[in-house]
Amino acid sequence: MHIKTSNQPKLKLGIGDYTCNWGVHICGLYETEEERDEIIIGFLGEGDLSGDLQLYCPVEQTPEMFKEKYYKAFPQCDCHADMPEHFSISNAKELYYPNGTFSPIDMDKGLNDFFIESQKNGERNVRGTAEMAWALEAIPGVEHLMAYEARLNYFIPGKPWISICLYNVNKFSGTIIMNVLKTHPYCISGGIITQNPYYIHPDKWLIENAPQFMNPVS
Amino acid sequence: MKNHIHHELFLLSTNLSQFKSKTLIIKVFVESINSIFPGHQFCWKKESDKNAEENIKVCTRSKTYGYLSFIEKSNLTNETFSLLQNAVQLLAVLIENVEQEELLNDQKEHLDILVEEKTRDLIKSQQQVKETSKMAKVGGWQIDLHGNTLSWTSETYRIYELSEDKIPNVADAINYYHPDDQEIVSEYVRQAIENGTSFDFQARLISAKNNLKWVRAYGKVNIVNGETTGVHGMIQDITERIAREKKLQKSLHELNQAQKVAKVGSWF
Repeated sequence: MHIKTSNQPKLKLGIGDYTCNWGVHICGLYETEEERDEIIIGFLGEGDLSGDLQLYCPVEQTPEMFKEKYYKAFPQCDCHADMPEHFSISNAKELYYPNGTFSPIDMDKGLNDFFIESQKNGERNVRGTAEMAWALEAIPGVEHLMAYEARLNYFIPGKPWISICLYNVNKFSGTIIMNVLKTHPYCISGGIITQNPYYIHPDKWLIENAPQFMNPVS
Repeated sequence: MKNHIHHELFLLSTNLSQFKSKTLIIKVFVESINSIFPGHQFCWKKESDKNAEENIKVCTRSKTYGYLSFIEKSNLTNETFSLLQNAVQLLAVLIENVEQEELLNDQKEHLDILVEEKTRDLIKSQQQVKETSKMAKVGGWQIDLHGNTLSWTSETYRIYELSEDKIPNVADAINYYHPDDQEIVSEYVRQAIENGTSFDFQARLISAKNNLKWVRAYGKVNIVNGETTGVHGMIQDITERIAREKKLQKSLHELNQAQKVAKVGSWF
C-alpha cells in the first residue's frame, strides 16, 4: 500500500507492504519489544538491501542484541551493521547529548553535517531510526526534545531522508505522547501507518510551545 | 459550547479509531478529554478510585476495561456529563475493536503456522511416497469415467517410458501391452467398468522405447452413491522379478537334468 508523503521518489518502508516517499518524518508508537523490532529490523533491512545508508540509535537493547536479530532476519546483510558504508550505529549520548546537554540547535548542526558527509560521493538515501527511551532520563535540555522533533519537519522534507522516532507508549506519559503526535506528520501504530491527525505544522507548534527555537534550519 | 464539545468529541473518536494500540488510545483519550474539559484532572484507573469525585466505568457488554476518574463533577452540566459518558462508551468500543483485531491477528498467525506445518508434512510425505514408488517401481493410475480421462503418476510414466507431458488415454494405455495380452487386459478393464469387478493380473508391456517389460496391474472401481465413477489402481514393473524367477527355474531344471544324468539325489 502506498502512502503519498511528498513529491519525492518512492521507497519501500520494509514494514508490511507499505511504500511512501522520501523526505518524511514518522513516529513509531509501540507497546512491545516485538512490535519495536518489527519496525526497526524491517525498516533498516529494506534500506540495507536497497543500498541506503542506515542511521540507528539503540537504547532499549544493545547494538549486539540488535545485530543478532538483524543478521537472523537478513543473513545476506551479514556484518553490514559493523560497516560504516552501510550503517552508523550510535548510542544516545553520542547522538543526542555528546556534551552532556541536549540542544535542538546542536542537533540541527549535527544532522546537517552527517547529511552533507553522506552525500559527498553523490546522492545517497538515508534512513534513520532511534529508540527515544533515553529521553526518560533526567538529561539536561531534554525538555526541548519536542522542539527538536518539530524542527525535524524543517530539516527532513526535500531530502532523500526518512526518520522513524520510536516511542514506547507504556513508558512515556500521555502528555509526551500527545506532543509526539503533534510533531510527527505520520504515525505507525500496531503495524499500521497513517497520516497523523494530531500533527501541527512546526511554525504553529513552535510559536505556541517553544518560540525560542522558531527559526528554521538553513 | 455544547456544539463545540460535541464537535471535539466527534473529532476525537474519528482520530482515535486509526490507532491500533489500546495504551495509545487510552493515553490520547485522557489527554484530549483533559483539554476539552479543563480543570477536572481526568485520569485512567484500572479500579474505581475512591478518592475521585466521579468514576465512569469504561466497559462494553462483555468486559470492563477500567475507569475514567475525575474531580469537580459539579462544574459539568448534565448535558456535558452525558456527552462525556457517550465519549467514554465510544472509548470502550474502540478498545474492544483493537482487542478483537489483536485476537484475529493472533488466530491468523496461528493458522498460518499450522498451514505451513501441515504443508511441509504433506510435501515430505509426498516425497516419501514418490521415493518409495520409485524404489518399488510402482506407479498409480486413475480412470475418471465422468471426464473420460486417464491420469498417471510419474512412476507410471517411467514404466511406460513416456514423457510426462504426454496425456494418456485408456485405449493407448492398453495398446502398449503385448499384442497377445491386449485382449485380456481390455476384458479386465471392461469388467471393472461394467460390473465393478476388481482385477489383479500380470502381463507383458512394450514400452514407448520398445522395451519388453513384465508388469503387475491392480485395479479397483470407485463407487459414489452406488454409481461407478472411475477405476483406480497401481502398476508395478516386475520384469526383474520375472527374470529372476525364470533364471531360478532354469537353474533348477539344469540341476534336475544333471541329477538325472549322474543318477544322484539331494536331501535337505
